[in-house]
Amino acid sequence: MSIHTNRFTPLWVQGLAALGVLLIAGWALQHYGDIDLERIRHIFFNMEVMEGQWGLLMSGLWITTELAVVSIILSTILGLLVAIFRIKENKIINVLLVGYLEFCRATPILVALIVVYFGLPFLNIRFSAFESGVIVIVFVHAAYIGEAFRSGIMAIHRTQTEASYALGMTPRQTLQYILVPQAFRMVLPSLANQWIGVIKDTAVTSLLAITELLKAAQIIATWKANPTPLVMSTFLYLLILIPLTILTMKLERNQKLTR
Amino acid sequence: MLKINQPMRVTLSTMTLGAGLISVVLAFVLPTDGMSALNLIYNPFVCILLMIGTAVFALDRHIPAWTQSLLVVVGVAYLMAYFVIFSGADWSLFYDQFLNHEKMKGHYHILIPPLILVAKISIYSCIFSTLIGLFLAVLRSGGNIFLNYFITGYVIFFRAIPAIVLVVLVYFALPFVGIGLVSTTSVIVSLSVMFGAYTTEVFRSGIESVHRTQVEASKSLGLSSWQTMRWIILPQALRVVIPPLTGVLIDVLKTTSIAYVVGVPELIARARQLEGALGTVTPLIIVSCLYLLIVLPMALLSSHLEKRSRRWSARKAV
Repeated sequence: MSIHTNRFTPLWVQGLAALGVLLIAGWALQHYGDIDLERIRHIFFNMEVMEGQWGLLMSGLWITTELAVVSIILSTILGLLVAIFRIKENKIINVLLVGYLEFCRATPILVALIVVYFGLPFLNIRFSAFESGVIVIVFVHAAYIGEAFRSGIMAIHRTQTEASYALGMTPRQTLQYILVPQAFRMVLPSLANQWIGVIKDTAVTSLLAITELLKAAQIIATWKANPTPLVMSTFLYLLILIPLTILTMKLERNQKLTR
Repeated sequence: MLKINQPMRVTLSTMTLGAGLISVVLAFVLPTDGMSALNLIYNPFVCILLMIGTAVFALDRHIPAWTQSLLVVVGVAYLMAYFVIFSGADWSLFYDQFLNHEKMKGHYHILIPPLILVAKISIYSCIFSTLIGLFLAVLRSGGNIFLNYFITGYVIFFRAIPAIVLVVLVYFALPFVGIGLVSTTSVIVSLSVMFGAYTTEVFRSGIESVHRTQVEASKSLGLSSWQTMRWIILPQALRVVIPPLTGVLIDVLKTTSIAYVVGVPELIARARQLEGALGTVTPLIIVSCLYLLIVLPMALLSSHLEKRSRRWSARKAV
């Protein structure tokens, strides 16, 4: 929605104004900020530093992918289970699962990771870094995903079920042909959002002894005393995450339109 | 597919329930040396079978609710017992390592300054990200196409970047071009900028939720576009915005914990130092409980607000 602050200004004038502002800002940054383009290239996009280091960075990317895929699959399965139990509306089950959800909403992933990886060994419970990453991410995100599934299923109006029963469908048929297709459409945006969250949270495991993308970049950056690897790893993250984010935003908007 | 009739269902569910109950009781009654008996009950195969049985029967709608609750409670208890016995943990160390008041005595006050620091970081980040979001959302509703492209680009970029990557980038990369921020400031800056993207989305959806006719009516009353924004749209939008905004602010609060990565002397950093000095994990446990204590009320509040707003919108739809 726009309230048209400048309805009578032609589009090209607006465009020119925006360009002008940008140019002035850029000029000011270069003039007063003491920014030298060649120096920036040398510092942030220094490909000589990256020579021979791409292998480590790519192995980091591979570990991040592994971590993300395993966590996404497991947390989706667990979340679906949580949602199935939630929609039963059994009191005791609900209390348990709401407690679980609120606990997960209130626990920062980093704190949980540190407690699991550095705290539990004091009790002789030892998980490898990868395992503790998967455990924590799955545990926390399954709650969110379960909530997403549940709200998707709950958003389907009661009358849909009643109508399908009235048409003589069995509960299974109702679930298969009426509820799941609609729920899928309702759930998809928030589910995709959670998956993006999982991928982003894999970066936190760089604190543990996993050489995933961020950690690999940090290792190279420290060794070469140059931030280029950090920038490259950011690009890699963005390469994966920006398309997903755009897709999710589109899905969200579509859902809002159809509703 | 196997058809299960009512008597068989009852028999099977009773058997699962009974097996689960018996194994939980046995797990606590039998001495831990009697591993032969325990192995039979707690071998992974039996465990999975029992869990599947419990899940199937807990979901069966022909079974009365109380039996389902009992089944689930037994299932959870079984899993916990399984964990307690087979995690290989030395539970005698639990109080010594996790809840050791003796060693912590006189050291609690060390955790207070970092707590204040965390509170400061989160308050600043919350305020700045809300302001950025409000500003950009209002700017966006101005309808300048080019400006909107920039704002959308900003939102997409900062929604896509992991917080920890951004913080590391700001703290470790920017000093190379002379923008050296103190670690605390770099965390505040990156969190505000990042969550500004989220709050922009939240405020945008709030502004969009105000009906068009409101704008038209205020125009016809002769209000300027700023007056429309200030007196007509924002008051209505803010009401819609509050539940999702609390959600984002909770995320800000939780994400302040990554300040640990750039060496801010905050809760986790101090707790790990204490842990090294005292030889017990108690500080870490205290810190996680602190986070829980602070964030849990907010999380409860946010889900309450969400539920209420959903009820409102449902009532409006009817």
